[in-house]
Amino acid sequence: MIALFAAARWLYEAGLMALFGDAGLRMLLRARMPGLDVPRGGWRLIAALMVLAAAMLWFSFVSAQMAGDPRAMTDPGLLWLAARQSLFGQIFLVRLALLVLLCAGVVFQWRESGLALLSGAALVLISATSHAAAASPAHFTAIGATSDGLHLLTGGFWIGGLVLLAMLFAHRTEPVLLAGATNLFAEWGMIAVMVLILTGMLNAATILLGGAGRDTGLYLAVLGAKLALVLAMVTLALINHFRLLPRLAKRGTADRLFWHIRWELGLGLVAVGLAALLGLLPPTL
Amino acid sequence: MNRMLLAVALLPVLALPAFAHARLLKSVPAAGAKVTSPLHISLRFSEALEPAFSGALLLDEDGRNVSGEPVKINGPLITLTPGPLPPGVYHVSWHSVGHDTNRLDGDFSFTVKP
Repeated sequence: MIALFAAARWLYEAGLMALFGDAGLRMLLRARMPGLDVPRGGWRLIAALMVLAAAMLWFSFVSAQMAGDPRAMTDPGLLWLAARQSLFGQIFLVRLALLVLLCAGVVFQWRESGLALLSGAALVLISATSHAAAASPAHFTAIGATSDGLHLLTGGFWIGGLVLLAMLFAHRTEPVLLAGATNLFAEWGMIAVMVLILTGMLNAATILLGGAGRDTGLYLAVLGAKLALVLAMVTLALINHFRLLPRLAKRGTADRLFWHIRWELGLGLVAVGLAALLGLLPPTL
Repeated sequence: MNRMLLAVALLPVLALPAFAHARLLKSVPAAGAKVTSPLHISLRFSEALEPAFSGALLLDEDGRNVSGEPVKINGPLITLTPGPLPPGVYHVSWHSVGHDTNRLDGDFSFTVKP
């Protein structure tokens, strides 16, 4: 059950991160590199529908969790009670409306700014009921919610940006343009990175250091697995930046960089999955 | 350098979600206390509760519900108003759900002195 719960949450977060970052980088590329042929995002409708389904599944899991009864997942009365009477449920109704609009926006090809706004709002709203919000210092929920929201958005820019970069590589874009797009991504990524690090540290401090009790082995094991993933990603990023990007015009380098970007993206998605699982595990008892 | 920073940025993701359950911080009467019949029984939790999914019951030695008036939930506080309690051992069973949607259950007992 916990695996399904985590999977629903992972699909929601990973899907919205990909949609948000993709739309954000498309906006930047169209503004700064108007000559670049950016591939159409046919996958975005599938992703938006997947996120919509994951949102409903996640809500039904949460309703059952709050009621303390797995049967609540399919009990219309309890689901409606959860939707009306809990903060998570009320926010879920708003997110549902945003996701329906997002699906419509993808189908009718609305502006990228609109898609970024809708996906970003649906992503950031989950911060209001996050553990970071609940663990905010002195019960100032806004501190944790804001920090967590910024963290999700910056992480989304990073994940979604990699998705679009991978598409550009798959599209056989000219090496000069590829280098330009990668550098543009990194340029904005620096800002995202700084915010990501600061908010991550704040989240870690409020959640982990503020908790009482002893650490649980399973939580630390999952955390350790994520650490290993991050180390692999850092290694890949170093190789990409210092060895491959300067030699992009050389034969075979673009293919190798494309592989690395896909690996980096894959590792990032697994890391988001582990984060979803960590959200369901107690760090302390 | 930019890309290196991007990769390093994943590090904080490690610490993103964790637990912040609505834990019972304090109760009046306290667990195991011996008191005269209390006017109210209050339970204070570590965070604000979801009233629709949180609650408490007061049971006597025979397992009968003697909670009295409907339970009041206000922020992180649950209050029971049972009315006069005859001497004996009483059992408080509670469940809490915070805004983070995690549920905790627990119980404790206290004694009403003659």
